[in-house]
Amino acid sequence: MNPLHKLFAVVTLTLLALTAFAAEPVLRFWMVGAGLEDTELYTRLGREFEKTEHVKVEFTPLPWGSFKMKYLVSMAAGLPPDIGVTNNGGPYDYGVVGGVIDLRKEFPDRVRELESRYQPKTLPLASVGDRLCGVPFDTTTPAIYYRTDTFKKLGLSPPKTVADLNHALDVLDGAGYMTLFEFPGAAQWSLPMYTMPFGKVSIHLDAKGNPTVDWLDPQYQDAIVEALNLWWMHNSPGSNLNGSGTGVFGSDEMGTATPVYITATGAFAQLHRTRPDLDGKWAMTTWPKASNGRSYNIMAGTAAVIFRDSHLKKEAFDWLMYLTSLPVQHEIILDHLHRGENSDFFFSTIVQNYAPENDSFWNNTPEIKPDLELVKAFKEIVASYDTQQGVQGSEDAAPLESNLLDSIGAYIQGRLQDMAAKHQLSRSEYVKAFGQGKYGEEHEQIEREIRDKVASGYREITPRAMAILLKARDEGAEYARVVAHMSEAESAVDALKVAKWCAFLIFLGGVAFVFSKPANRAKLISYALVAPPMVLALVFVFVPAAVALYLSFTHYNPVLPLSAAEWTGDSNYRDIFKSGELPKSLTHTFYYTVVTVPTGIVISLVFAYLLNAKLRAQRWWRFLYFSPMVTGVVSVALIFSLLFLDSKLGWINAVLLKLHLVKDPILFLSSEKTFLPCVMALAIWQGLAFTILIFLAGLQQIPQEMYEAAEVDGAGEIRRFWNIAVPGLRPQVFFVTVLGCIGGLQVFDTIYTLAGKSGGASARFGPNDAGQTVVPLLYHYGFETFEMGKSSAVAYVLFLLILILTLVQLRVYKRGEV
Amino acid sequence: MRRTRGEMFRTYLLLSLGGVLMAFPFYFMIITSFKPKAEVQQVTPTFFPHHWTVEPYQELARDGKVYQAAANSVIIAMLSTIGTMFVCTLAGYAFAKHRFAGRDFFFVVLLATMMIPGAVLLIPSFLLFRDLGWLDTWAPLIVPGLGGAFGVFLARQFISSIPDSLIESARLEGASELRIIFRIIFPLSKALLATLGILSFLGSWNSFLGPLIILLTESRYTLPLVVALLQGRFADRQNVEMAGAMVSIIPVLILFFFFQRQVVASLANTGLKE
Repeated sequence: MNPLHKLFAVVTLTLLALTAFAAEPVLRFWMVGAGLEDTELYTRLGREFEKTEHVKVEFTPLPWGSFKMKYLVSMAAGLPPDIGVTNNGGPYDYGVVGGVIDLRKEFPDRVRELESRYQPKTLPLASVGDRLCGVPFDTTTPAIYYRTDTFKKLGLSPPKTVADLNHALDVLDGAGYMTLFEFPGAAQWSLPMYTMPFGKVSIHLDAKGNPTVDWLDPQYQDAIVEALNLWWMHNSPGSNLNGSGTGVFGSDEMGTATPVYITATGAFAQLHRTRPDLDGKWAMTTWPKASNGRSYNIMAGTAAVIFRDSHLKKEAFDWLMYLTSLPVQHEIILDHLHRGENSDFFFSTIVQNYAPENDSFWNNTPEIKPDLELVKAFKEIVASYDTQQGVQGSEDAAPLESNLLDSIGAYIQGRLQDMAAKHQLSRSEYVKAFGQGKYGEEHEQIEREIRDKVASGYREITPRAMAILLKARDEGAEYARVVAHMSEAESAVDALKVAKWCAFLIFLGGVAFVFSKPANRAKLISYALVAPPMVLALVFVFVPAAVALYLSFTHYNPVLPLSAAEWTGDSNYRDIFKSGELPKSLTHTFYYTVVTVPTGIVISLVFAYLLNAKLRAQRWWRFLYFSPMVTGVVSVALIFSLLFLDSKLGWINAVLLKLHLVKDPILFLSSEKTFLPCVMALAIWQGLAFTILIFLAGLQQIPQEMYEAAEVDGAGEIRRFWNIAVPGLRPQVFFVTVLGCIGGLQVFDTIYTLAGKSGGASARFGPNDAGQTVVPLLYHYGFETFEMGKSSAVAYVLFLLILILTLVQLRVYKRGEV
Repeated sequence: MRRTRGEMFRTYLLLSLGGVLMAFPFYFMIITSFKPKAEVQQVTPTFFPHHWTVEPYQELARDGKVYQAAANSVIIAMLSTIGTMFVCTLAGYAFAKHRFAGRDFFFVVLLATMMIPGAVLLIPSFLLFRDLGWLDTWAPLIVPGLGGAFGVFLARQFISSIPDSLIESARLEGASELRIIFRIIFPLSKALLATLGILSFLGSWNSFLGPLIILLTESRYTLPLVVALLQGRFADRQNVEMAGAMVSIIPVLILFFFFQRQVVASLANTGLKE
């Protein structure tokens, strides 16, 4: 056995061992948005459950930003967890493609007991037709925390209506205070709070069961204008504060003092513990009523589903019954309250929790006492909570609305900034003046502009959304057909099988080529040595490339078998151009490249020239300048995401404010105008090292005599740099430019991380998708909306662009132009 | 080149200014990772910790995921590195020193794979791995990259410069191919092996998109995945997030400091790539 074989054997055995290790039967339970404390809680509950049911529970927390990808990928892979907690839309979205089971069909005898734990109107959201594809898990409702001391000082009373709230915020603005909209800020999933009191739903099914949107309804638009006013026309410390909401709420220092803190219910538990000094200085009130006197208190929530490919469905159902039983519910609620500085409130919609016979639990829990008001609100919410079924395609259509609202937000900020500049004020001073009743005409003018923007924006996106929804409805029907005949589809011939056979034939051809001629046979060892990379290239590059080309002409959802891919001709290519998504991504990419490449080159030229000098401690200098080259992009992006925090909580803002370079803190990552520039700053910082390295190598090839000759001619350092070093580096500059363009086309990791995809619930690539370049778009289609066809079409356009760049480069090198 | 004293002063000044900007993010990471929670939540940030604490690292240990992921990443990177060194050197040797029918054709076909960007293969590779039952295993992170075209290209370039006479005389003495490979090629290719090793180690250690899509079970996650996840898991705890970044960055930086010359030379090689 030669060492090579030994190595392969070791690798194979290791991989096999790992697979075997994973095969141990356990109930896999995934949960979106869970933190460290949740992991500990559900692991503990799992151990309790194991004692009676003899099933081990393995808990995995998923981040809000990418949970959809994880669930869909795991379903596509046929390796889903047994039971999972998803967003509210999960049961519908996964039910449609047959990824999760119908609880009624699977557990006809026991489902009634489970259903009885819920208020019937909460179940449609978790249904597809008559199928019950999941049950609600928890719910989030907005709460307004306000500083009673400040309110008293300003003569304000707790806001009972949205108009009250707007007025209170005006008064606070006028006095120089700020308002923090934490979760329900510019988040699209909070829109029901504004529109539902009027019975308007963003995307829904009409009476005939056809998908429709309320976007053009004047009342809907009024509610949206109201929301935009609340979000953007007041002074705010920004929305990207990395959880320092309690910090600014507790601050009394003008400039950061934020006496109104609008967030999810749970914050009170944390406030009591982190800021005991504030006890008695604040109170909480529920979300105010709309102008018609009605209110709607649901922001968002989660739901639990059981997956079709699970082998432990019965155990999963038992676990669900266990978690929704009253004693365990109490345990969960108490655990959430007892998390010290990270305490929060677990608001589940299990009706028994709020039944009169259960009052003693609330009354006898000291931690909850100051907030019994909230429990009262929950009672009302649960009793009146009304939901309706999801709409196929709403996942794809909804971002149109969020992006529109983002862009209007950016517009308002820009307008305020410009108008403020006219009066030689900062934005916050200008808004303060609004609060004091000054510049009333301008205020009205901006409000009118918002109204117009809303009207024209919705006019533009409505037909696009309707097209998406109608197409999705047809696809849904197609999915239903495939789901009904799943096993046939699974065994049918598909493109990958064909490609694999072709690859196998090519491989056989290669083997035949080697063995057919005695001359070749004599060289067997040579062929054996080059075989591994050739086979790897065939299997892992050429086969996938061919399949991608095929897929780019089909419509395919990977949760279904590949044979369900449907030939649609060039419609994907037309779609990605016509929908404007690809041109938008290319524009972003172009912008990114045009800034980062030249800037990087200019800075690198200077520093390469400087580093080329005979330096003391050269090793250290090079270490300093080259270290970004070896550090992982993700870690670096995580660091930058904190440096770029809003308000003066972020170091960069703090420095800029201190140096009086800016009047108002920049909303780096939460504004569409500055998001991509932040990504660029990171890219330039990290890319310098490699460019400097290439330039240094080039500088060392420039003969020393040239500098000396120039020195004799009396050329100073700047002239030597400009006349000798820079022209001498022409080939390197060309090379780095091409490489930079290719790199710019492929940027992904930094955008993903800076957009907070591993954290927050923003499911997009930056505000208004400002960071959506080509690869993020490819990823979005491939692993977020699961349109593998479109994704492959984007991939081929990308391939073409890179091919062109490479050919240009080869051409230039051949001609010897550089 | 010679520079006057004034010019040297200016050089050091500019380099120091640039150095401050280059080191700034690292400084932030180190400082923040030793701050207590109360201090990172303060409204006015402190540029130097008032209280030093290792609490964030203890929190990380309580979660346990980062350290496990670090171990996973080490295993994956080691397997990729060793595998790449073997596969690329052997193939590079054959391409450089053997004569066989179809050699140039094979080499061109292999180089052609460099034209296809990884992103193009994302979707179909995913489907292929699913078909092979490789999803949620480490195989897709190790196997496809073993015989990368660029590595083979580097190996061929390097081994071409080993004199034929050495190999010929060994052959005349009756040495088998294996003997030639292990007694002549490998010992003479230390710089090549270092380059292949360093490039493949860094590539594997820092790769993100592949593991993001392929790995489903948390206990198999790699370090970049878990570091990215800190954003959600420790949403309001900058100090813990930065402690996680430290775990992923510092070991590599230390290695880089000691093997700076080799690493820089290796990375400069990627300049040949296009």
